[in-house]
Amino acid sequence: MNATVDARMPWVIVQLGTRLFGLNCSVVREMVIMPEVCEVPGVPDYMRGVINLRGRVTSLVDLRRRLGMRSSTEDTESLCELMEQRAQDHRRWLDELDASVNEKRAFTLARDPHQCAFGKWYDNFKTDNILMSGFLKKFEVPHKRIHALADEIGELAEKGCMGQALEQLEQARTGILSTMLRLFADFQQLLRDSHREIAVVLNGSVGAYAVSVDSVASVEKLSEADTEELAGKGLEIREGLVTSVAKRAKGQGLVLVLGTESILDPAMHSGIPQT
Amino acid sequence: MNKQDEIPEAGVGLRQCVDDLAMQLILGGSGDDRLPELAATLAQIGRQSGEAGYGEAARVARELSASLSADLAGPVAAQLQEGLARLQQALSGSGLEPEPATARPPAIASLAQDPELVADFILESREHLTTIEQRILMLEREPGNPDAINSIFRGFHTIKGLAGFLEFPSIQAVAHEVETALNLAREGKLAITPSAIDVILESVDYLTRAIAAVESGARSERVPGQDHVIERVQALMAGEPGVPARASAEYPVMTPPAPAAEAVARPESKARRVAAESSSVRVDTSKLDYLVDMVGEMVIAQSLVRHNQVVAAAGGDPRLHRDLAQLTRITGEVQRTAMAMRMVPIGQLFQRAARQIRDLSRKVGKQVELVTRGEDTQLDKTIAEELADPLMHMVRNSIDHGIEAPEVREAAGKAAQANVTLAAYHRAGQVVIEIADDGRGLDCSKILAKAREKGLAEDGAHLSEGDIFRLILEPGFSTANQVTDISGRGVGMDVVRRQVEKLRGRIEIRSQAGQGTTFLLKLPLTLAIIDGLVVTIGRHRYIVPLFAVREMFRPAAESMFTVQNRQEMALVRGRLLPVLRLYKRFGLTPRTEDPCQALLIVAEAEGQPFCLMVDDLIGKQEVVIKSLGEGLGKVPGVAGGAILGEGHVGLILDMGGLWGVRAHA
Repeated sequence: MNATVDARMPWVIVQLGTRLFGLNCSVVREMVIMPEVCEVPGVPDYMRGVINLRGRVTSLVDLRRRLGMRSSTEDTESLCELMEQRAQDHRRWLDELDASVNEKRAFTLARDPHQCAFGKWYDNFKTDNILMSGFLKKFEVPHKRIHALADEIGELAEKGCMGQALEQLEQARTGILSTMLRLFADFQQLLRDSHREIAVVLNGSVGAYAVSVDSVASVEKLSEADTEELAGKGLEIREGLVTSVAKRAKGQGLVLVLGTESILDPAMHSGIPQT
Repeated sequence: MNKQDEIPEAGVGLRQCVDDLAMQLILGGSGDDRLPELAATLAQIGRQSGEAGYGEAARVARELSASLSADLAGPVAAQLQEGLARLQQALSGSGLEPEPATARPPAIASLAQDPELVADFILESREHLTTIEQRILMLEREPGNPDAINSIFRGFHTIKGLAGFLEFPSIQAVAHEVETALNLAREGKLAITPSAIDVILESVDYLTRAIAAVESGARSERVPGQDHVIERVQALMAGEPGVPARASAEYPVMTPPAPAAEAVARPESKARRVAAESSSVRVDTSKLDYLVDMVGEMVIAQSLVRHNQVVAAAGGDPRLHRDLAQLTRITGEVQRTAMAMRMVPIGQLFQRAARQIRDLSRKVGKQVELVTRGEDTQLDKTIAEELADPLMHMVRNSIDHGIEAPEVREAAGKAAQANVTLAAYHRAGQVVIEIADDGRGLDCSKILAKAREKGLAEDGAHLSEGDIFRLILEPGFSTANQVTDISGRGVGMDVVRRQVEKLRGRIEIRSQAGQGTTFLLKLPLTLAIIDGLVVTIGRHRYIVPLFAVREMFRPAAESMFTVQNRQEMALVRGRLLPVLRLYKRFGLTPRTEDPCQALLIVAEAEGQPFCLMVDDLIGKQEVVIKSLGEGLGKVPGVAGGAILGEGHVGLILDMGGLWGVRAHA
């Protein structure tokens, strides 16, 4: 809490996951879209490697890791893996429908698109990424359609129209299922493609170094948050990289202010306040 | 002469007064309100100068004072400054210098704190000391050489003057003492004997230490030994036969050197300084490094353009072809020029060696003549700096171990005086430095016996002569049983080798029993660029410095062995070499874990060959070495980073670091 928030200086507000962090604009040299990173072996895990910054080899700190958060690559990859599983879910779902028809037994998997694992995730997932939300809309119709098959084919099978039921199943495999699978694959691709971090280049004590952030939210002036107000919200600042908490204008929320001078000091804890 | 003897105090005081005034003018400006005061001061200076016999100065001061009183509103600052300069000139022009030994602490305290002036002083004094040392050694060979004495005298005199100016009393006092002694020598009242040379060299050493203290920012430049040095110089002047009694009686009065000499020495040194300033610019080394760095990148970018497929396909276009050739020529020229800016002649290093050889040979009672060749050979400043210690060590070794005592030499039918040759030249894009002596040569059987005793060589091993010579470069070879005052202090040739390898160089040894030994240091021209092999492991790219690579091959299954289920070995040309799997060391996923599908690079670290296993070789490339940036200071096994062709960063491997970690694992 030694560093106070200078209300006269603009701050660079960066986003890591759901949190906002403030970097003193006087230490920020530039911001670039993350170039290819060359990993360096045998260094602390938050040192992600080195990048080429216009001919200068510059070290890169994974700021999420440095602050004890999961790295954004890990975030993306785990979401991709989740999507892969959901794609498999639907493949198995159709297999099970096929089997239940052939073996003339009850189909027990979700008939309601909102009840399958993907449906539950889909209904609850929120993102401010327009590309992602736009793409996710494409799932809506085919997803409803594939789950509707359970009733349609089940009805046909009950009526004894086995041939028709099996034909529909076959059509579904090459039609709606492959559409769904392609959507899942494209979505993963989109996730990976849109996973473009920003490298914020900071002035170090000797040269420059870069920190990775998810995105840069804005550059604006901040005012110091009231300690009592923070205490009221259950926020308590400990000694660490986060030196204080600042308020954005117009009650847009709080920003954790980072003391950049100790980012490269391995002994310094992240000090993200606990809520 | 008379005038000077009578009124030195007054002269010094006046100079001081005028200097103060000039300084006040520069610092405080000449506001209108201060003009009457200035005019009064000047009038007073005029009176005093007149009384003290400085006619010209008195006239100038009166003139100035009058013009100030007459024209109070005019643009006086420039006029005043110019007038003061004339006044200063008038005061010094009459042959009077502030007498250094008796000078009061000048009132201008800020000068000594001016870092730029002090830096200039350090630089210039060091230059003078180098010249002095060089001339002293010359003087020793020809004790009567008046040019040498004069040149040494001038050097000390200038240092004294500068030190007085910047208030370094200890440097000033010692320089003054030596200057006085040298003046006696110039007048033939003091003989240049070897002991006199010793005393002068001792004072040079003192000044070198004191200047180092100034550089390190110590509060006082005085370092231990000042009184001792002064005593020695005084004893030399008092006690040497050939010094007339009158001279020693005169000595406590501290007769200033003959005015003629002052008058000659000062303008000359000033003129020289002005000349040096106008023809050179001092540039921060980091800027120079950045320039060399960027030029290196430019050369690489240029070669990428040249080898671009589209450009190569358009090779038929004669105009493009010509323009590209022109571009290549220009970039090459720019690179050479940029490199040359970092280059220094090796002569300075040889100079230090000359001094050391002189001291050592006297100490051990051996007669050694130093022959130097190629002093003008240029090499990178950093390399020159890093090379100083190893070179001195090798020279010490030559004199201590290589060269025999005079009796032994004569008994062997050789001249009693031994030769040590230091030579430097460029060969095949490298700088080669030769350290040769005509001593007893290396004794193969003794080296081998000792190596076996130390466990550095196996009993049955059959070693070539070259292999045996290389044993002296092994750690732990040079040890306690040969400690002398000079060499064998526990640091041996292995330290030399490590240092040379750090500079990406190699040592070669040639020796013939009874005829002498020659050490060849082969060093790169620059540290900024290296030739490297670009290799891959999985999707990662690394650069293996070419100088560390002996050969590479894809092993056959029968040439791979595992010793004690732990250490993997490969049979290379009849020798079993340890294998280091780079992907394991760096924790990567390789394309293949089978050595027979991969590539083994036989590399060398600290003289030890080993095999480095990588996936594939992509090619050979010249790269500019860059540090990894902040927070990644020293990464074991990685020497630095380089920008590869496509703009990606590749890591340059450090063989020593890789091998060291492997050996300790």
